[in-house]
Amino acid sequence: MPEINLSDSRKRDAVVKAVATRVRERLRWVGPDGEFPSTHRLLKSTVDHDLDALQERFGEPAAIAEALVSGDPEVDMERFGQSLWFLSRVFINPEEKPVYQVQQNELVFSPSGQVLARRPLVRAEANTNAALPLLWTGRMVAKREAVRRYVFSDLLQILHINGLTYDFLFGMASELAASASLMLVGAGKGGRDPLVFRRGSVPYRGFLEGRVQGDRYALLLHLSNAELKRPDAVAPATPADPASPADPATP
Amino acid sequence: MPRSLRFVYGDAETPFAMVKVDRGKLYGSRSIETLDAEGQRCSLATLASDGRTLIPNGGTAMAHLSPAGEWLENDTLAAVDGEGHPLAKQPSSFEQPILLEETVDEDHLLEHSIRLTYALEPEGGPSGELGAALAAGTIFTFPFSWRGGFDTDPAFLLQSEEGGAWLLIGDPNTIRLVGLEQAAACGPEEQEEEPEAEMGADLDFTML
Repeated sequence: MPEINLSDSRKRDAVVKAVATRVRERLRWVGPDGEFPSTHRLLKSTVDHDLDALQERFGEPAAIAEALVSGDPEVDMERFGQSLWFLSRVFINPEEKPVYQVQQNELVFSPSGQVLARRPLVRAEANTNAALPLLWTGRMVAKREAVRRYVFSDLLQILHINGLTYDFLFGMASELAASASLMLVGAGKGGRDPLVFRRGSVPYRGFLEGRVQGDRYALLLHLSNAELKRPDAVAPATPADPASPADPATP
Repeated sequence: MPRSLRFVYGDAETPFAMVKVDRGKLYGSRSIETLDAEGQRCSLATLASDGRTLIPNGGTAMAHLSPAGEWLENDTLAAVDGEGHPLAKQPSSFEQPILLEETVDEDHLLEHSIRLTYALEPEGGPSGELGAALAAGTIFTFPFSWRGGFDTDPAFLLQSEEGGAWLLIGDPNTIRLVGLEQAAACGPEEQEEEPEAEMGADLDFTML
């Protein structure tokens, strides 16, 4: 449950919790005897048994085909089918050997797929639980306009952690519910920066919505990184455009 | 060639061509190139827990096992919903016309995380009664399935601010109204306040 440093319309701030609300499991599978099966990840192949390895070992495709028919060089009978857990992701070079030192570049493409820029990768730092709280920008968007203008691809529910933050968030939700609008919130000085929840993760614009029923509330943070626009309605990109705002190379 | 969905509203059936629109098509995209010390391009692989076994892309598979650890073939499994009720197989949404009879408000749409957006173009001219309903702000909803199957996604048909018809496909979220007693457990730390600044009229989405 990530923490989020959030301010309200009076510029009071507090660290509260943000929880994911997506319904994870809408469908389940049942076995023939009515039991619920578990899902396991199994080993199917390794780099020692893939096509590159077989080509190195047998050469021509005809020789590989003959080897596949006469034996099972692509299968390790002892290991394939075993359950896998605690997997890690590693970089490998063209010789399929692990690489321990890498240099990463960011390639920026235009909407038509042209490479606009190639530069060292700079990962945007997380800013949603930083020293500067997320600020109400003062920019309200009516719900009717918001759903027709922005693509809200994720949603977090903001929760209180004690009595004080209950009052804080309930007040915020009441204010927003009365306006029937979403409030744009931003990070950094003046709330101008997009929200970055983890270092290097996708930056989003954040919109707060409040709902209230009696003494209960729901304070929702809608996240968007695109507008509901047709491509021809968007100005052509320049090399600096798709860059991360935290990239110091970007003006 | 774009695929078409046929919507039935009132007495009319209107076919719409659908074109997928994503962030890359609007603002461009970024990718990460990884090089080793010799400048050779690297790719990602999976390392097993023994620290030695390298698994290429496609080198793992998912399997269903019974509580006793027995292998279960996929065709022996039945689909059920969250309450355990059997689910019927749904046809692809492209196979038959979609009857538009359920509408929702903005609050309901905001309870969904939108995963896919398609711009819709009416085939064979203006969309008549349906076009008028969309222009009046109606949001239609229906279950959508690309290929057919047991699971469908909530889909929404609406007109955007700039005027065209859109199909939004998303995932539902569970919103809970919470009271004082339903606090999340953690330890807070207060931070100093910062003055706010005036935002411009247009949000810059290309910088994201």
